[in-house]
Amino acid sequence: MADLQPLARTVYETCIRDSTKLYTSSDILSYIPKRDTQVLLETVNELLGLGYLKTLKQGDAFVYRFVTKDAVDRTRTLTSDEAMVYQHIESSAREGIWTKTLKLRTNLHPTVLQRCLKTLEQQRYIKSIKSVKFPTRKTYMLYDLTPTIEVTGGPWFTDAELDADFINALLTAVERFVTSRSFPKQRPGGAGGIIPFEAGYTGYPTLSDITQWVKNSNLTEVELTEVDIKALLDVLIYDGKLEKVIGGTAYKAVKRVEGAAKQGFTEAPCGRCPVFDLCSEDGPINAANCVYFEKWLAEI
Amino acid sequence: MQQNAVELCTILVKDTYGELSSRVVAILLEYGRSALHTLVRRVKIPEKVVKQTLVVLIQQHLVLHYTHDEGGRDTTYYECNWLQIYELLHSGRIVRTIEERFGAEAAAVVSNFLLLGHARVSDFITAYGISSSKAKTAATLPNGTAINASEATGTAPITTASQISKHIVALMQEKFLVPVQLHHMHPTVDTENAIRQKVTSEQTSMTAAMQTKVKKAIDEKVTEKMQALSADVDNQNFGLKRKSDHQDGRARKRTKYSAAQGTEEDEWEIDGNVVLRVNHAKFLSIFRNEELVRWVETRIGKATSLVYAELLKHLEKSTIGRRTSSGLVDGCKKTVISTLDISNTLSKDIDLVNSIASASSGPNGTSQKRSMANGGSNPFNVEDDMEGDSDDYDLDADLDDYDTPMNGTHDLSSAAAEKKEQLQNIRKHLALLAEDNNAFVTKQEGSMQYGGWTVDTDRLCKLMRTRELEQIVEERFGSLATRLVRIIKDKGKMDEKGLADTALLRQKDIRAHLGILHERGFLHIQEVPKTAERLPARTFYFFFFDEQMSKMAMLNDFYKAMSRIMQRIDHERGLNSMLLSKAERTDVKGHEEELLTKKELADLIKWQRTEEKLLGQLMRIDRQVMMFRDW
Repeated sequence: MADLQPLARTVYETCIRDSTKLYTSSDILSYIPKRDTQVLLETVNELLGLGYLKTLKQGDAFVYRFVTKDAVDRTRTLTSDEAMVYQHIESSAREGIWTKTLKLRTNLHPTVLQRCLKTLEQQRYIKSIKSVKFPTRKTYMLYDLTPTIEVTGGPWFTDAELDADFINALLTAVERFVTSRSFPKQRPGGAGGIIPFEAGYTGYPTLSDITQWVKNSNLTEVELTEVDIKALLDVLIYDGKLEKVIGGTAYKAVKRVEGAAKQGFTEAPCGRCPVFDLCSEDGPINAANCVYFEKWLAEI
Repeated sequence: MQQNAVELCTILVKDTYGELSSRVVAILLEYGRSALHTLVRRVKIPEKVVKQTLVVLIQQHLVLHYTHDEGGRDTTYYECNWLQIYELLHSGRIVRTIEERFGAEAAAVVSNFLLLGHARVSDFITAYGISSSKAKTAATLPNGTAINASEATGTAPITTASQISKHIVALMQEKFLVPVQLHHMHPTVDTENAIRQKVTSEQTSMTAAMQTKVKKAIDEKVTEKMQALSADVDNQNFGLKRKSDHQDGRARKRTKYSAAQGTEEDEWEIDGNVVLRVNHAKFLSIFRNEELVRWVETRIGKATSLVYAELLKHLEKSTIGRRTSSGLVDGCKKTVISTLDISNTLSKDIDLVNSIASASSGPNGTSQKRSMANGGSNPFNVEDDMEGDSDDYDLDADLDDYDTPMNGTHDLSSAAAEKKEQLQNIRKHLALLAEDNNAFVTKQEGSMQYGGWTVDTDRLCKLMRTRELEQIVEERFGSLATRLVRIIKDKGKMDEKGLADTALLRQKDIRAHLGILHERGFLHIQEVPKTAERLPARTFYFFFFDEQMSKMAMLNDFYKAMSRIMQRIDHERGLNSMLLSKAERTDVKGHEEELLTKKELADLIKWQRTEEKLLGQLMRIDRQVMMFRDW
C-alpha cells in the first residue's frame, strides 16, 4: 500500500472496511477534504490505476467498489495476460466461464491462455468446475466461489453426476408416506384386505403436505423445494405407483395387488423368448424342439 | 391380416375340422378372395372335394361367398372370414358363460349350435327329438378345445322339444342366438358395394360439378342402408314382440319367431325354419365386462367390483353387440342403469358397509370432515351423510325427494329402511367408481330416483389396453422401461436428454432401454437434423409412442405365441400318441385305473397336466388378443 499517496490511502482504508458496499462518486467525495472534485478525480484515478478500485455500472450511473488488499496483491503479481484472464473469470461470478468463451473475449492465443489458466489454477486463484448442462466443457470460476444450482444441477446431482441411490431412497420414502395416507388403517378383525376411502374423501396428501413431511423427516440435508418434490412425484406417477386425485391437487397411492397374476403372454415362454423372431414352424427353431417350453412345462 | 394370424387360423381349423379344411382355408387366407376354379388349382385337390369342404366351412361361417354378375355370367367368389375362425377359440368360454347364466341345458344347446355353425330350429329340435344320445355323440366327434367343453355339457338331459325351444327363446331374447340373415353369408364389402351400386343407379346422370355433392349423398345413403340391414336384430323389442304373437304388419321372419316361441309342438314344426347362429359379438362384450370387473377388483375392492358386475349385467341385457371396423359396438354408452335396478338384483350377501372406510377413520384422524353427531357405531348412518357431504357427485340432492315423504310420515317400516340403506350403500360404491381416475361409471343427471349411471366402455377399453401394454412392457423390459414409455406417452416426442431429466435417470442408463424398446416396436424415432448435412452427431432423435403401431406389433406377437402353443400341444400329443390311443380305446375309457399300468397312468396324468397348462396359457393370451383387437 506503500505505493499510494497519503490521501488515497486514507480514503482506501476508510472505505475498505465495508468492502462489499458500492460507492458513488459523491460518497467518496465526502472523504475528500473540502469536497474538492479535482482532488477526487486525482485520487480515484490513482486508486483505479493501481487496482484498488473497480468501476461498476448501476443503472446509468457509475459506482465504485473497493478491492481488498489480498485481491490487489494477487493481481499485482500477475502478468498482464493473466490479469486479463483473471478479470474475465471474475466477471463470470458463480456461473463460471467456458474456456472457449474466454478465448473469444480475451483474444489470446490458445497456448498463452492455457498457460495463464495453469498458473492461475496453481496459485489457487481459480478452479475448474464441471457443469451439469455441458459436462464436456471446461469451465472456470474464482477459487472461493460456490457454483450456482444451474451449474451443479440441483439437489439430484452429486459431483455433477446424477445421484441415483439418493433419488431411489427418496422415491421409496415418499411412496411409503403417500401410501400410508391413502388407505384407512386396517380395522382389527376387518377381513378382506385393504378397503378404500369413500368417494369424496379429501384427506389425501397434497404437494405441500409431502414437501413438509420430507423437510421434517430428516431424510436428507439437501434443501428440497416443492419443484423438486414434484419431480419425484411425477416419476412415481410414471412408475404407476401414485396417481393424482381431487383434480390433480392431491396424491394417492395405487392399490397394489399381492401376488398379481402375470400376463398370459409374458408368462408363456414365447413372451420372453430371446429367439422369438427366428421361430418358425419348419425352421431350426420351432415349437417342437423349443427348450424354453421344455423347461416351462417341467415346472408344473 | 397378418402372417402370424394366418398361421394361427390354419392351425385352429386343422385342429377342429381336419387337414382338408385347413388346406382350403390356408389357400384362401394366403391368396385372398378366389373363385372356385382358381381355388381348386391352388389347393390341388379334386373339385368335388373342395366343394364339399367349402360347404362345411360356409356352414360354420368360416368362409363367406358372393356371386357377381360378370359380363352376363355369374361368378362366385369365396373369402375366408378369419375373425370367425379365431372365434373357434372362444367356444369354451361361450359355453361356460351360458352355463353360468342359463344352466347346463342351455349350455348344451349353445354348444350344439357352435358345433353346427348355424341350424334351422326345426332341424335342431328334431335332432334332439330322435334321441338325446345323438346329441351326445355329436358333441364328442371332432377333437379340440371346443369339444372339451361341450363334452361336459353335452350330457345334460334334455328330454322334450318344448324344453329346447324354451331355452332357444330365452337365448334369443338376450341375443345370444340370432337369426342368420343373408348378408351374414356375404363379405361386408360386397354387401356395401351392391347397395352402393343400387343407390348410384337410382341417381340420375350427373354433371361433373354435382359429382362431389352427389357422392356424399350416396355415401350417406349407403351407410344408412348398411345400418338398416342389422336393424332387425338391433330392435330392442325384437324378443318382446314375438311374445305377443298376434300383431300384424311385421316382417315374415318375425312371425316365424313368434310361432317358434309358442309352446304347442305343431306350431314350431310348421314355422321352425328360422335359421339361428351364435352371436359371437355379444359374447365379446360379456368377456369385456368380466375383464372390467376384474380391473375394478384390483383397483378398488371386491365389494365394489361386485356392484359393478351387477351394473354391467344390466347393461348386457339390452346390448346386442356388433363388430365393426372400429371395434365392438354395443350401445353400452347410451344405456342408463338406475341404482334401483342394481339394488333389486344385487345379492344381499355382499358386505357393502365394511368395504368402504369413512373419512373419519382416516389414518391421521385430523381430516375429519363430517361430524359423527349420532356417535354412530355405524359410520354410514344415513342421517349423518345427509349433512356436510363434500361429495362431488351430489348424492344428497336427488335423495331428498325420496327422503322427505318418508321422514314426514315417521313411518319407516323396517323393510323400507333396510332398502333405503342398501340403496345408500350401493350409491357409495358407485360414487367411488365414478370418482376413480378411470371413471368406471358416469353419473347421469336425470329424473331417475337415486341416480342413473352409464359406462363409457370405449374409453375404458382404451385405458385397459394402455394398462395391459404397459404391463407387458414392465414384465418384458423392467420397470425403468415402463417409466420411459409412460413419460413419452405423456409428453409426446422427446429426446434422450429430456427423457433422462424427467425420469431422474442418467442418460447412459436409459439408452439401453430405449434401444430395446425401439427394436421391439414399442417406440419409434423421428430424426430432426440440425444442419443440412444430416450428420448423425448433429441430429436430434425424438422418441415417440404410437399406440396403433404398438398394438399391431403386440397382436402379431400374440398370434405367433398362440400358434406356438397349439403346435406344442400337437407335439406333446405326438410324444404320447401310443399311450393316448390306448387311453381313448372304448374299453379302456372309464376304466383307466384297472387297465393301465402305473407308469402309463402317471404319464397320462402328466400329459393332462401339460395340455391343461398349455391350453390355459392359450386362453390367457386370447384374453389379451380380445383386449387389443376386439374391444
